[in-house]
Parts: sequence; structure tokens; C-alpha cells
Amino acid sequence: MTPHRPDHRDQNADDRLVDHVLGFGPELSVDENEEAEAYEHAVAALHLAFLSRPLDPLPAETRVRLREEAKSILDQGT
Amino acid sequence: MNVNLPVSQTPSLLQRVASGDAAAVQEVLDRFGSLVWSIVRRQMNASTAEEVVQEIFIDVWRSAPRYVPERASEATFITTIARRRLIDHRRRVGRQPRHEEIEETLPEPMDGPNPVEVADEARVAVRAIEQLKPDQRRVLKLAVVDGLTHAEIARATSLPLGTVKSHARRGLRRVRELLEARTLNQLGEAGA
Repeated sequence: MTPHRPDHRDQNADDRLVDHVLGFGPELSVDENEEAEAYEHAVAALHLAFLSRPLDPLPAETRVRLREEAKSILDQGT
Repeated sequence: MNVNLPVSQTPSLLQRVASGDAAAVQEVLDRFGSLVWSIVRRQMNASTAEEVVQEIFIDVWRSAPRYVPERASEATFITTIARRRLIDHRRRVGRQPRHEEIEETLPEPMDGPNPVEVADEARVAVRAIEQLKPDQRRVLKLAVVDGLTHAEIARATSLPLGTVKSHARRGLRRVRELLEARTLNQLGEAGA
């Protein structure tokens, strides 16, 4: 992977990417979406870092449904 | 689903999912189910959250073949998917997220038996957050965790809209820079 340096980008384009991954901006072009992935990982890391309180347990019924859905999807894919 | 791996490499959890390993599905739910549920519940009620969590995990199962361990931890990969689906959901229903209390505290270091612990990137992000000014930190948290818009953050913090935007952008760029530096270091160590 070759990390892209934001300071070499057009500032307005970079602002659009940041707004996009924070959920503020409009839909982006394919090229910009590829570039946005690095920012998406950064914002995901931030989200994890901010989760300072204990996690809420996943409800048991939801877990059962998720497992059944996963089985169906994996069966289709194999 | 197929996933290509070198013979000697132990597959990650998501790579096992991509290979159709049902036990790996259970492990993913055990390790990351509460994480995804908590992220989503922060922004909506339980009944809507269930629907969105289902969408997120369907995406996780389908995206598993695209997971590359060198690019992100599994926690970050799954959180990225969760965020995308949350944003999609907000756009689809045209409804603003639920906003709970505004916390002023710094995130705690990730220690203890927590699923988040597996995300090295989160530790990098904590370092970046610690370098930010309190207003910048607050703006980022409202944007990232609570899903507020720029305008809502401006109202909640009494900061000018332009300041809110610059705080959010600057903070996120700082995290990205630190993550890139970490990746470069890892690549350098791997190549040494």
C-alpha cells in the first residue's frame, strides 16, 4: 500500500473526502471513493477510540437471526 | 466465496468467514456483535437498531473476501462497514440521529478483555485525540460517535459553523497521518 499524503491534494477535494466519510458530504466519484478508504479507516479508528464506556451486549434473539442470515449467505457463496 | 492466501499464512477470522467457515461466523458475532450493536444503538432505538445491525452484518459476510489484514484490523474493517451502513440509513430515512449526552472526557486507553482491544488503530487514534484541543475533540466526537451534522454540532457547541468544519477536518487528518506513519513503520519493519 502506498499511503497518500493529504497535504499534496487539492484542499477542496480533501475537504470533500473528509466530509464524506463523516457522513456530511454528497456522494463521490469512484476515484474519490477509493481515496476515501484511508479516511474511512481513520474515522473508524476514531470511533473505536471514543467508545470509552462498556459495550451493550448484542441481544440473544438478534444474534440467532444474524447467524441464520450468515449461514444462508455463506451457503449461496460456496 | 473464495479467498487467496499464501499456504503458510494463518487465515484471519474474516478470511475464514470468506471461506465459508460457520464457526468463524460465530466467533465474529462473539467478538464484534456487541461492538456493532453499541455503535448503532448510540444513534437509534432498539427496534431500528436491529434492522441496521442486520444490514451491517450481511455486508460484513459479503465483504469478508475483500478483507486485507495489512490494511486494517478486523475491528476497524467492521466498524468502517457499520459506519457506511449507518450513513446510508440516515440518508434513506432522512432522519437525524438520536443524540445522547455530550461527554467531555478523553477516551480511556483500551485495556482489558474488550473487542476494541484488537484494533491497534484505536490506540493510534487515542494518541491523536490527546493532541487535539478540547473543542476539536468535542466536535470530532459529536460527528463520529453521535453522527451529528456540522450545523447540529455548531448549535450544540455554540461554535461558528466554519470552526466546526475546520475542527472536524483537522482532527481527522491528524488521525490519518498517524495511521499512515504507523503503516509505513510496519512495512519498514517487515522489509528489514
